[in-house]
Amino acid sequence: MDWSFILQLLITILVIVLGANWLLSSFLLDFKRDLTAVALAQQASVSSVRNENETAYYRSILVPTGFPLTTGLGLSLKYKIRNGNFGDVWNATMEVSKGRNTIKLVGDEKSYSLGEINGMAKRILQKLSVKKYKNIGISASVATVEGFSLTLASMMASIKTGSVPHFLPAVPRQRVADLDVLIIDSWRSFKMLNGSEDWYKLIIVCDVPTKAPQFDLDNNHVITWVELIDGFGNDPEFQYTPPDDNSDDKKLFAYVASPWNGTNSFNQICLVSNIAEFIKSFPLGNELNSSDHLTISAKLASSSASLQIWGKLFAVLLHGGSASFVDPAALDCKSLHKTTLLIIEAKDITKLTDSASEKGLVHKFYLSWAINLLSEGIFTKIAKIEPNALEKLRCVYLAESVKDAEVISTFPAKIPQLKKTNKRITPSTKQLNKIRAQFGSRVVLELYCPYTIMGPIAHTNFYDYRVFDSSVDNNVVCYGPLSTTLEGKMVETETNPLLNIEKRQGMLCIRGFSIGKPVESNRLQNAMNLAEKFGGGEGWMPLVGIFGLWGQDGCLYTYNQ
Amino acid sequence: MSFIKNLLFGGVKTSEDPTGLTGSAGSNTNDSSKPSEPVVAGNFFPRTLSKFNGHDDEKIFIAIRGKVYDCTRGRQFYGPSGPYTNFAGHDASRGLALNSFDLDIINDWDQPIDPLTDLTTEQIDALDEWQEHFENKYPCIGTLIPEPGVNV
Repeated sequence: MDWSFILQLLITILVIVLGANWLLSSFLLDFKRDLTAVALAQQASVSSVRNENETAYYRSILVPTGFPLTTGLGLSLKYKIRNGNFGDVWNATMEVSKGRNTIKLVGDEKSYSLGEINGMAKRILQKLSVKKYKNIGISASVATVEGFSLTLASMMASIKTGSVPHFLPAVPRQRVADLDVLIIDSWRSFKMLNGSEDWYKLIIVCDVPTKAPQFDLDNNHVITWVELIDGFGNDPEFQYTPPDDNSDDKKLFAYVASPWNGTNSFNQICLVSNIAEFIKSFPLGNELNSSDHLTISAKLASSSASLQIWGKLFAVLLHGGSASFVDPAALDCKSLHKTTLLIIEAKDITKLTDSASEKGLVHKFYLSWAINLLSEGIFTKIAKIEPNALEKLRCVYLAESVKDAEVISTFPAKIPQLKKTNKRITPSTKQLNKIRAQFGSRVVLELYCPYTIMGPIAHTNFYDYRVFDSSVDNNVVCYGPLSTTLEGKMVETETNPLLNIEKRQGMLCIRGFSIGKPVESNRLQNAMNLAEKFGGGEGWMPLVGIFGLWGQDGCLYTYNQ
Repeated sequence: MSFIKNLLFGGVKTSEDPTGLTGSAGSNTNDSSKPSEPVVAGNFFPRTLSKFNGHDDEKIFIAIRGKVYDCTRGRQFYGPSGPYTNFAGHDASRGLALNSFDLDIINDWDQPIDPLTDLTTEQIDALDEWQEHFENKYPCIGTLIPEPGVNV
């Protein structure tokens, strides 16, 4: 073999490789991408004018400036449009599914049909309606059949009798105004009420009646869940006829108390806007449908934290889908064989990937290729870790909470100083693509503000698989554009002069239809003072302590703190 | 080579930095010359207002009795080829008061700001109605003031 032949061979190989790379990069890859680079670079609609000391207003490209934010379900009432409320949602859910789709709850081997759950809730509502109770305090987890049916009954009451569910982080240690009914998880909790049982007109215990302690005469206002649902039947109907004056749309949906004793109220519009936002977030060809099965980590369903799951849950049920709640400790890939949509806390996702069986060298190659293809914007399932168990999974929602929800909830006048760190708790963009590759599903990263805002503040696009350089990932987390129910701006703060408003950096302020209203007068006054300071009283809610910037792509990036 | 190289050696394509934090060549740092950069609300001179006519700049600002409104949303009316395009980037007070869209009655940017002192009661009423319409429909983003040495 002479040298000229080897040289010719090498040159030929080089030309072929270069040609293939050019052909792939310039033409073929473009056709296979889920979203074009142009669409990824313009994910928000930005107002053309900004005030001094603040950025322009940013909102999702799905609700451009000049158009209304997502404000409800857009139902028709004669010639008028209604936002809708829980009654409309549950009525439509029962009509669509005829009570056949199911909910699997924690602690039960069997799944309950919606007809059964509806039957239980209606039976509870019927018994509770006998006396005029005001608010219903829920301290038990909504991931159990007891908690779920009682919560559903109290939501039905919110539009039918005026009782409002009051989600509590724990059994109250101080008397809560207008709280007539208290739902607790066990007799053990009941024994620890320590005299506070007299604060309530009715206490519902989600435990077996046989374990009940001996009551004295004054304690006859205690009832168990089993006694409450006694006589229920499978009922696939929920009748609701909206009034002509839209008054039901403005009714209260729920009170949500935080562990630091702040309570916020949420109207029906928060719920329906949240549902509509979730439905809209699915791109064409990937919409919600009746074969969807939503799995929710039970950690997100502990009473007052459950605020974030209702929008997704009702949206899936509204399309005829089913749902399950699972204990995150018992969650593994094999338990997801029915799941199409999964909501889980970001920190729990690695446990799930670790539960998969060991893979060989070939899988490592597939994984590497899949991560590369995803970074190019091409979705692939070649590196799925459990192909049979994860066959149906199509999207994982990674729920991430703001760093200090307590500070946000107290609306302090003094703005804290940003303390940047290079430590990132949230998976990096490269790790997110690894999760996408391993699960063979889309991954959406969501930012929540617990107890204060219903649904996500922002979430990444279904098709956004971009990988950023580690220097970017070490500084900020990309949460995608704001939810379509919200619009936002960054504001300059005196304590953080290094954040340059002209580079779209500052403290996040939002306004829209999924924000709770403080119930306590001092918190409400603090919120109004802060809103006046940073927004001129135009309904802005400063999220104190959330420092970040708007990218040129319109996405929200928050600093690692 | 990047795609083939990544495929063979296990790398990934990194996207451009949209935050501007790294200062890399590809990152989009702030550049005020870009048409998409938002304008800071505040004081406008007739000269600075004139470029926001939907043609020189895609934004459309119109002044009425000293107040500047962002009418970009009403591009079909005030943008190029729209029926009221003459008002874009100008003080439209006299035109609205007289219900006239003629270019002759709209002052150029180098002329003094129209004091409107000669308007009749009916014309002032008409102008009030128009201003109320703009107030309800478009955000007020600043004030029109005379530029020393140009308009005064």
